[in-house]
Amino acid sequence: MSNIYDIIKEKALQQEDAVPADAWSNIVEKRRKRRPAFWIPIAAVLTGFILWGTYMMWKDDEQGKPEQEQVLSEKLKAGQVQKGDEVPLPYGTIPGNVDPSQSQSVMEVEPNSGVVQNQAKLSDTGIGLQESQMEEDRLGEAVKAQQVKSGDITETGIRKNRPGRKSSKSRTRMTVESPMQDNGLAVTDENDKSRQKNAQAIQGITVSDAAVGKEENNIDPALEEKDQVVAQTATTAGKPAIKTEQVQEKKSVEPDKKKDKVIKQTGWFAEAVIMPVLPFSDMSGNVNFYRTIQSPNNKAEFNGSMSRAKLMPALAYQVGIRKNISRRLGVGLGVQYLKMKEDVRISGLQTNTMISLGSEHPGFFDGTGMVRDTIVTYLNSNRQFRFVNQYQVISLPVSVQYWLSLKSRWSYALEGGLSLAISTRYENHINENLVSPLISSKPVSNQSTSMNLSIFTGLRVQRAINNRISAFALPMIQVSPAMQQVKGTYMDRRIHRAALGFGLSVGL
Amino acid sequence: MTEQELIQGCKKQKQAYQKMLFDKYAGRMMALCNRYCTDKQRAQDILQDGFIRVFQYIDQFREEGSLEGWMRKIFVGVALREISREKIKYRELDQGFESEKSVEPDAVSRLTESEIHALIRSMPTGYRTVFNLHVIEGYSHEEIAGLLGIEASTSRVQLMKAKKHLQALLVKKNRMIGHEQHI
Repeated sequence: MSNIYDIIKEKALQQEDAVPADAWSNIVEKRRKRRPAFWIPIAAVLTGFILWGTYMMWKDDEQGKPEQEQVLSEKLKAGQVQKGDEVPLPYGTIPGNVDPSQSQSVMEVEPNSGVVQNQAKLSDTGIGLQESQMEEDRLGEAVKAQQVKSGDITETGIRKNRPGRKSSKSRTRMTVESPMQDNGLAVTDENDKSRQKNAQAIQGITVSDAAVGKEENNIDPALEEKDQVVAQTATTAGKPAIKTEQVQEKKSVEPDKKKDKVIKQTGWFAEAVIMPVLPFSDMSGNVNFYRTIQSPNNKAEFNGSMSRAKLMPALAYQVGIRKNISRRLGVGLGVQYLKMKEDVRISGLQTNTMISLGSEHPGFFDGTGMVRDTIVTYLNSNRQFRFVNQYQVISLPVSVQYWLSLKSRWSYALEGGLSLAISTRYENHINENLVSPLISSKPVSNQSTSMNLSIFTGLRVQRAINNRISAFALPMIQVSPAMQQVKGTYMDRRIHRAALGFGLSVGL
Repeated sequence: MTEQELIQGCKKQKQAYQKMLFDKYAGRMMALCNRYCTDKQRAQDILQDGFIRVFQYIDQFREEGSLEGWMRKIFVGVALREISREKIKYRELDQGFESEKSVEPDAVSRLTESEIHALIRSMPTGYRTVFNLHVIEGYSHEEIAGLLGIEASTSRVQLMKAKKHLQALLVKKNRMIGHEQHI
């Protein structure tokens, strides 16, 4: 019986039915509709870029700042601490001939000398120092264990002078001096009581403890970053649209499809644009920076210059209106807001001088007083500071469009105009640190901000979405012919930019 | 043109090759669609969607089996999705049919493809679907259960009922043919 089903199967599989005549054309049409639109990946990339740019623009730049410094700066600003207050040592202990307990707990806050900045960036040179420092640590431990004595030449060439001798520098530039009369640190007690007292005070402080041994704590290879926000100078192309002719003429251009579609191409249009901007600045000259940080037993001197000031990609936002004044010409006016960040790097040489106490010795002349050996350690390293400053620019772009092609779907126009930066603000965070500011060789406070005029030109590619709304892209360049002076900057500059605007135009 | 060339052309998404593939298999696929769906308009929709899927996924065809077999699977999937929109009732066998009489294979052989096709299409949707899947396409009851979201035992029962139903239709058909011959 099952045989009949084989027959049925065979016959059923051989059966061919008539196919509707329009089946193939329907398939082609359906496939075309289902094909992902070309603009979807573009829109996705653009959306991602805009989100990223917006995040970068508005994110809290404070997070890159060293915590201790932030806390101290904030306290200073808030008036929670004042000059002379005791505050926790920001970056670890300061080696030196100070009672360790004191050095770990308190220090004075001075506007220009309070906090030791321990964040020298170690370059190659710095790494070398670090290595020698490890040797010095070992030396310190050896001294502590009385394996080496004052005046011995060690493996690293560090020589510990005998009392009363002049200092001699070692290969690592670490010198053992005695007595430290120059520094006012010599112990010249003459009576036994004070000698014993001093001896107790000195007890436990060895070369390794007090001098170079803790140096590692002082040199934090981390890059000190100050955050900043950047400003910008902005302007953008305007985006007038177009007015065209009569719908009749348009119909004659595309008689096939859009017969029933009347695209608004005349009258007033409101437009909103978001514009990724790639800015670049034109400036010349050098700006040097220096700062000195002093504490009882330490001194850090930095001398450097601005090695880089680069504007970062930014976003501009613009709204405006436009109107066609003839068949081919349109004009537009807008307001644009642009926020640009500037990556500023300052690099230079930092010299850290540390004074620490060595062992005590009997007085050279009468044998009654106690004198101390003092070790002065110099560390040189390359250091780089990084800041993010910020420009904020409000400008008024006035634009003219010349429509090369104005169709019901795709239209193209040359666009150009002038952009007047009516408000430019620069946030400079470089010398913001009240405790240890970087002093620049050029003033930043006595400048005024000037308005700036720039020229832009671009190609508008516009596509009608419906009879009132069009989307457009506007690749453009903008050139600033004149230098602009902006308060807070170290030097005048011209800011040019390349941009790609994406916008919507709505017929009013 | 060989089928291999046709497949390669379709894999490159060349429309000319796709058209040739359509021309070659559209009739058989239309018959398949009509077997699963009695509504002509919906059957056409299945045909179109099936070919769109074939063109879309032809890259995944490994050429290990026949192209037609691979296409049939796609079309069956589209058809099942289409008919799943209507509620299929796996109803009891109608009592009016004379299912006790057997049908001779010769009697079936004498029927044309169109007549067989019409008989299958005349079955209720539930029977027809299981019958098509098991007898024509060769799916097991477990596979049918997975495709239709039913129990395998339900599939077996439905197939049994479908066969009885078809036998009854065949008997009826043979009687009519015999009556015509007597006349």
